[in-house]
Amino acid sequence: MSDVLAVAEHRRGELRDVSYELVTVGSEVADATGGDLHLAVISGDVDAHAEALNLEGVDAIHTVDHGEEFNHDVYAQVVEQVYDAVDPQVLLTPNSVNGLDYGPAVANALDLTYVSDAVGVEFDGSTLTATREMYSGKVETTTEVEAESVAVSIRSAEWPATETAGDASIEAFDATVDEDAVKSTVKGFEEVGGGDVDITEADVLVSVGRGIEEEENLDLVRDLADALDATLSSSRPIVDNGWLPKNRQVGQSGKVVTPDFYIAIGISGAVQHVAGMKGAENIVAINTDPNAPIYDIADYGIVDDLFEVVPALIEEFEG
Amino acid sequence: MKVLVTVKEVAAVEDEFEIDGTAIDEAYLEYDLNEWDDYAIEEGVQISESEDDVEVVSVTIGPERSEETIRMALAKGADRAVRVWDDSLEDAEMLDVEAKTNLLAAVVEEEEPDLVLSGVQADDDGFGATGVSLADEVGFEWAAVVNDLELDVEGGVASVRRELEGGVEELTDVDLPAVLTIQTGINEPRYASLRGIRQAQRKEIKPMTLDDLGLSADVAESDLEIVDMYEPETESDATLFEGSPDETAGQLAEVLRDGGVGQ
Amino acid sequence: MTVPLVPLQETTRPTFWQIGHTGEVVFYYLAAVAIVVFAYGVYDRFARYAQGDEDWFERTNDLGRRVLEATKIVASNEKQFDRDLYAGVMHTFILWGFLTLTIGTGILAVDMDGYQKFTQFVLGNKQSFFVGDFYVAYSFVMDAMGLLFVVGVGMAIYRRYVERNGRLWGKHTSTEDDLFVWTLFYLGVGGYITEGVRILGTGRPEFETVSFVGWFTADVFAAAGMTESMATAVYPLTWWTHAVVALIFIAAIPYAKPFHMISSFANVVTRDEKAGKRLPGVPADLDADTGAESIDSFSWKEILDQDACTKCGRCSSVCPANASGRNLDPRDVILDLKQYRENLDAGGDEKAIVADGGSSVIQAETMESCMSCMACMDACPVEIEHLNSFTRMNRELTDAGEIDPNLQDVFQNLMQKGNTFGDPQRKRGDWADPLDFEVPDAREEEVEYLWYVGDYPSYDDRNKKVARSLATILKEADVSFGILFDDEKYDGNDIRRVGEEFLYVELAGHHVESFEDCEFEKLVCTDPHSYNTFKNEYPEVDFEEFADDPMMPFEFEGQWNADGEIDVKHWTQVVEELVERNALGLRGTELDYTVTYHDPCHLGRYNDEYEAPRDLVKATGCELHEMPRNRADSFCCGGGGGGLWIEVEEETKPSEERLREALEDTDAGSAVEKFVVACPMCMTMYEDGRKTGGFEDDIEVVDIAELIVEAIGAEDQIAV
Repeated sequence: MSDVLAVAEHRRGELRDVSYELVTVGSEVADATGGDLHLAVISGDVDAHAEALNLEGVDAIHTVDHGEEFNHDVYAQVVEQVYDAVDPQVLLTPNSVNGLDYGPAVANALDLTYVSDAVGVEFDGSTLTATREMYSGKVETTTEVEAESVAVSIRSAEWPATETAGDASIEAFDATVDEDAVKSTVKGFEEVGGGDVDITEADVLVSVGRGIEEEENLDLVRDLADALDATLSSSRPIVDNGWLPKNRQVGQSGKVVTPDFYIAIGISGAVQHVAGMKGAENIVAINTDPNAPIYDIADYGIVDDLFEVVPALIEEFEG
Repeated sequence: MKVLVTVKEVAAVEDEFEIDGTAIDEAYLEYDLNEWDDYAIEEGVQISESEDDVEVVSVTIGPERSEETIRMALAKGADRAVRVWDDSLEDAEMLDVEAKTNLLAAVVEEEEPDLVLSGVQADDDGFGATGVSLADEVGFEWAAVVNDLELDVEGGVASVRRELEGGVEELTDVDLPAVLTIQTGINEPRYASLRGIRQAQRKEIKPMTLDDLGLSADVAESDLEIVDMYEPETESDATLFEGSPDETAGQLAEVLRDGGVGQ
Repeated sequence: MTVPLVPLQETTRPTFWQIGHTGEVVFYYLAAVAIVVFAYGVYDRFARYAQGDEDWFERTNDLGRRVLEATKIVASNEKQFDRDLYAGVMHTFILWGFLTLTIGTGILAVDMDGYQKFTQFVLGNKQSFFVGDFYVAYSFVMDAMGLLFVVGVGMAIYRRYVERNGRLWGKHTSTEDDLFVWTLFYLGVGGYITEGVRILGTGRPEFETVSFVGWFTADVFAAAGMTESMATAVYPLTWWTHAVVALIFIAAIPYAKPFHMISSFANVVTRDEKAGKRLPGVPADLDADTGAESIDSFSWKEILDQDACTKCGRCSSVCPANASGRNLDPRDVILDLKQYRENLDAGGDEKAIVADGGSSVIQAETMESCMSCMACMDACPVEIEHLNSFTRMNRELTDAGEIDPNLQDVFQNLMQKGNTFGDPQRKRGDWADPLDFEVPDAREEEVEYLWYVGDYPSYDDRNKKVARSLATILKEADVSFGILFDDEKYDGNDIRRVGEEFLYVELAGHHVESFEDCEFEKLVCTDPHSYNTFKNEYPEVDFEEFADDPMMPFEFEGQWNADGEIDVKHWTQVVEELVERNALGLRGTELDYTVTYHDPCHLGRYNDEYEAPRDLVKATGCELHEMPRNRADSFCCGGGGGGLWIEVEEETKPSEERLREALEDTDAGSAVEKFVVACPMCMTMYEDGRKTGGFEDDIEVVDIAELIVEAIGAEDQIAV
């Protein structure tokens, strides 16, 4: 029997999706050996979060009411204490920006073997098998950990979210936070590049990537967006180049969008981008490279030069 | 003050490649400075340019070949470099987070920097964990995924922005000494010209073995093992339209119209 | 009435009429002062050049020939006539008018201050040759040439102030330009006024009719009511005004725009005939100052360039970067440097020469905008070598690491792989796979032509067709040729121009080492850029200097092809010979397209090859119509000087403007079907401009090799 401890993530009052996904992975791993899944909910409105995470497969939820927002010094201390109390074999954290801000420290402090960014996890009680990508997604590896105790950070949006309600025990965990050891202060948050358009609200997005080559070519996709009565969005390189404001960026460090139609033009589909748009109902890809990962998730595709296809498409709607 | 920048020589894979067992066939690999570390070096050098009396030391773990990479750091403005390598590391199949943490911790103890900059992650194994793990090991403060840094050397505080998901940045102050993992886009890395690289040959790259660092060979032992490597299956079940651009555009237009687009 | 010093009836003119002895002494004193001020100024200027760094090239050898050739260039005004007939006529009039008046004054001085004094004090019998027929001829010539001078200056004034010709007005245009042209005008007109008043005042001696302009002015004055005595009375005033202005002008020459008479001539004398097509090298010594750290980094010739500039704006008016709205005005770069140097010499603050961010003399962006097309240097009438200064600044940017990210990628690819694409070298020969014959390996067999294919023809899909076309042509003509496969790397021409000199040397070293290992007679290139650097630059690199450097892995010592034993050719030159001896069986009726031809900068302006490509186009039967900007006046595609790799904000791309020219400005108008190129970079830029400029339905871009392949009916070979 192997128990699992998973750490929920929330930001600015909201639980993040990865928390529900952690429940899915956690219960799979725990069930494989008949162990229990424990959840740690730290900071913020812990009661509401615990209530929301009282889901099928969760056996116990430990809440630590300390502060409003994530602070890695607090998290590191608290997770170590909960870990010691629960004594699980597997620690699960999100492979998010915040997950990476305490997970490795906790693993090091507790002397756990750390496996980051897993996209698949299996556990037989003694060997944990994680699937990871290497070389920016060009290959996948099967990694085995022969360890008493491991920490795994899981990639978001790789597992379905657990939504069915459960009957876990919810208890406040009595953690002691050494304030002297808290040497970082979160001063606030800033939405980057607000602007007038909210791409998350759009039904149809025409999204443009590196394949557009030059800034002036953006007019072409603008015309298409106009013709389709759609909103223009982009992948990271376009924003990095300063061609579009940050609020147009779809992806991990941009916005997560779920339009009815997502038309990806000259976007290869790097995992960071896909994380932001794979929830779209219909994904259309226009890209010259038939091996581009965007085609893995696309519903419709045209493997051809965007400079040929897009004008023809505009013609279809305007001509 | 002293800034230690950790750099890694990473292997990039050509578009077409072959897998040999649990690794990529060497013929398809090209070695280069890790992209994130390039930004970390630039940040370190910019600190040395804007503050007085800053020494930038670059450290890498790697075989002699990796001197080419660390020389890039020297060419860009690092003052000197340390290269950790040992025969026992040569034999290790892979260095996991723990091993790298311990090796770098020994270097930190030796160099006693005020600030350690590392890239958010390495492009090859993509752990993204060494920096924060190192901070814990050496008792430094830390911040992960930093895309803006302002240093108050006097006050011993680094004011950073952390790039969170969804277009949100977190503004955080961390006490020094600290380890910061640097995100791409924090600056514009400068070019290391061939002249600069040639000039960097005069700068010191100090080789250090496990002995020099007071570590034993078991530092390289890992509980992690790669048992399989494969190309991810393409799960594509996309409907691909074929024909001339006019034809494909026509077919796509039909689908879009059926979906109520542009009506 | 005072008694004239010279009897009126003698056929000459009194030089100091009505001036008096004191006046004469005062005049000589002022003249001496003017000459001292002039001499000091000239000395000071040249002393400043002497402080400049040594120049990479030999510029003062064979001085007699240099002066002779410079004189020919200047005297003929050929540079001024280039692209601008009006300016040619204008400058010729002014130059020859001014020169004649100066020589005339010199002759007068020789007579008065030499011959007369000599005969008076040495021989005891004062004589003058400034009399009789000599005087008559003299006065006629002076009047005539002076008239041309005034007309020339008038043309200049008309252009500058009435027509307000754009290129004459720039950010460095200042009062010195106004003063210069108006002073010249005043001197010319004032001379005739003085002459007219004198003729009137001396009773209109019959022989003075040869001074026809002066005679005419005298008539005008008389008609206006001026009497002989009035003329005599005002004469000293007009004379003194004219004399003082002339003396001030002489004194001012070294301190303002008139100095171009000296500095520009010196610049033409010390020009490098191969300027631009060969760039200065750098010493292997890593501590050598090869960039533009400060103004002292510039060589004496680069400083002289700045002083030679007359602000005429020809360079800027032909600059494709300037035309497409990029932040580059070549004239301003030269003059900004000059202004900064003069400020600094006057105690001003020191700044960085070139950097990003706005506080430097020259912006990094300005240097990135340059396409190294050499149009500026071709247009410059005073042989300013813009590209040498530009390269110096590009080297500074490279050393400082301030390189556009796209260009950094290119450099990185070159360091790691050896080609600009970052593709594996082992795939370098893959372009030839679809051919139904094997392309020979020059490393394994002796060949007549070693063919350097180039990066774009090897890796870029569009240009691979050109490579296959050329292979097919050579095969068809039974030429013995071979290529280097993965031992061929990037030629280095353009990265040298953007300042990555050591990487260039490394690539050049690799190639000469590879060339040495092959048996061949001639080197032939697809790409004019490769052709240029192989022909003009590789033979000048002293590889010996880098022999012991571990970062320079090549094993080659000394210089390559210094004696020119290996003939380096562009492929059009080779194929033209084949066509001439009918090796391809072309009848000249095969194709009937209406086409225009674009001269690649590196083939035309750089290396003066204009006819071979045209002959080939015509040999296929195509009807060739010239664009207005053809041959040496060709307008760059935008791909040179790293333009191919970086993105610059611009209003209209150079390629788009050029395609417009092809469709609108030739005799054939929009009937032009094909835009013919002879350079892979042009191919890439124009295929791009065709898309972005919306010319896809109007015109096709083809390489000459593709036309020939079509003409010999072997198109199947080149398609994939």
